[in-house]
Amino acid sequence: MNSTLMKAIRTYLPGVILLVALLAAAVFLPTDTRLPMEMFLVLAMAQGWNLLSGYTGLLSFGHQVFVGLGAFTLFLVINTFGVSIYSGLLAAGVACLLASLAIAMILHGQRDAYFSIGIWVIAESVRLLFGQWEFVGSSRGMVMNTSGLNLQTFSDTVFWLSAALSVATMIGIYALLKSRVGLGLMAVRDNDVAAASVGVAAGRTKLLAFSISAAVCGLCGALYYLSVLYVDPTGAFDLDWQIRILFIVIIGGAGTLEGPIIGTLIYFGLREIFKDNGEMFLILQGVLAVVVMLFAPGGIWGLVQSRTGWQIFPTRWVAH
Amino acid sequence: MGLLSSIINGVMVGGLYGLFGLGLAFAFGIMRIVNIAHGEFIVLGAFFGAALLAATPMPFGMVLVCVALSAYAVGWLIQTVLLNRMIGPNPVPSMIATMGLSIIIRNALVGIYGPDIRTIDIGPLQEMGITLFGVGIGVLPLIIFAISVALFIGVSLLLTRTSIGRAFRAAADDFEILETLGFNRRRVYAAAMGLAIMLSAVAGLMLAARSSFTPFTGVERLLIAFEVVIIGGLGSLRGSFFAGVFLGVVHVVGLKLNPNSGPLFGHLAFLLILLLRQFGTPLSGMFRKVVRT
Repeated sequence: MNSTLMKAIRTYLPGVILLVALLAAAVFLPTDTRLPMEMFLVLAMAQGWNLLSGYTGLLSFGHQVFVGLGAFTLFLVINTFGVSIYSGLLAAGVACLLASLAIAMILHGQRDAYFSIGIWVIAESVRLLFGQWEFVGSSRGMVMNTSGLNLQTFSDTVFWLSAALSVATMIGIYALLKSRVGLGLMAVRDNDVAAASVGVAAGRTKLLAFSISAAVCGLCGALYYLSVLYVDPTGAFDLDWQIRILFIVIIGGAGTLEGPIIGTLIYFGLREIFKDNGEMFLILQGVLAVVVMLFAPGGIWGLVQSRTGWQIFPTRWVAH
Repeated sequence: MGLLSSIINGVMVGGLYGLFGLGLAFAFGIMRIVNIAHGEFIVLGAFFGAALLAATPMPFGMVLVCVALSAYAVGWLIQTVLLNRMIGPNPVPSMIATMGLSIIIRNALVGIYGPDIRTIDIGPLQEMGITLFGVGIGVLPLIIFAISVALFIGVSLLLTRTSIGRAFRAAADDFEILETLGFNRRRVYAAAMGLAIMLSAVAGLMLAARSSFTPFTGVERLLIAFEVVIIGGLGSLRGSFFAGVFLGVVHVVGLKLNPNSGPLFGHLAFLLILLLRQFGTPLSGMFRKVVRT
């Protein structure tokens, strides 16, 4: 009994400490909550994408489609039916789940690059369709109807929702990875034929990861555009969302839970340094992606792990 | 512009789309490298060609040759310096590295030239037109189409009649056997990437001469190239050509129906073909047969 407790503490404590520290830093230091809110949202998106691409090896270049769909669903539902932001968020999550199922149907059986670029084509098509669709304001976009919102507590509400979403995503994915399903996910990534031969339903496992990542990105997109009260197809379906997520996961270390946290800190650190030079910042992201692929394909955390064996969120099953 | 002339125009653009796809298929078929920066190299060809035309008195044909040679050098260099270190069974590292390259090129172009829409002026040839059977056709698009057909025939001859072409095909099948025959795998790869980028950059410059471009057009061009590869099938020259023509016609006719749609109709047609293939309908099988034989 005692030793199981000790083991549980050893297993969970570092992660809990890290999360509390992050939360504390984000909540108590800045007076302007916009940057920490964005950090939380981008981190959650990165974790969602990482669950799919880092843990199952299905590299998606089209997750911006969920960011935009989530945002537009929220705006449509709130503006049309006058519901609360919570119902709007729920609708956004559900819409992205359904969208992920539809996309899975179109891309069924497409592997590797065929999946990566196939979903990119879908994202571009949806962006162009929304740009033509008069009901959602076509290329002009939509402004949130604020009559049903409490504008005094609005920014705090959005911030805390973002923080909660980010923490819930981390804990949820961690729990998922420690379960049988998570083991199946990693088995599929490492060798899908072998995984299938020991009874892992590879297709269903991948679909689960895909749907979770879609819902998370949709919720994040909804919250982000809720915070600015305005959404347009060019911004919401922008490839830059995908590049940001990809950069964060790859630099930090794909297929680890720690990697995206490091990646998020590096991303926003660099962005603050290059505040006045957007092109230079993007070029630097590209250079870093190339350099990391050349010298440390596992990302920064992968490098640290291979040198030291550290794990903050141990997701591998250890024999006892 | 009537429907017939849209279709003819689409066919002529389609030759270029076919070349885009051919370049991408080359890198993927031979080296298993998915070059995400493919679209950026296509746009780079346009920018470099425009710069040469503005800075020197060279005629368009000579500029095309210059762009082709430098594009070959760039492709060779990137394969030798960067991508040859990432070949292997895992396609992810080279995809991410070329994604990084695409971000670098795109934003460097924005930094140097700005984000505005640009066109290329190549003199009186651009306005000339002839009338065939009552349909007006531009002379420049016709010449460009002829060049793309010639390039397809050239590549086909290269692959079947020369030793480097045979080495390309062997490398696509089994590189180990290729190495036992005394070929250096990495050199073959560098030549293949050079050729892939060359085809794309030349096609990119020709497309720029008959339409417009910005530093951001690369994404659209990459997706077209990819659609050509999937529709036409990997490793089929004829497939690439006809898939390009098909997409070209869909694009131009779609733009005639809705001038703001951009590449939307092409994307939708592609997704429809993917869906039809899922269900294995006779229609898609027929299409594939027509395209591949």
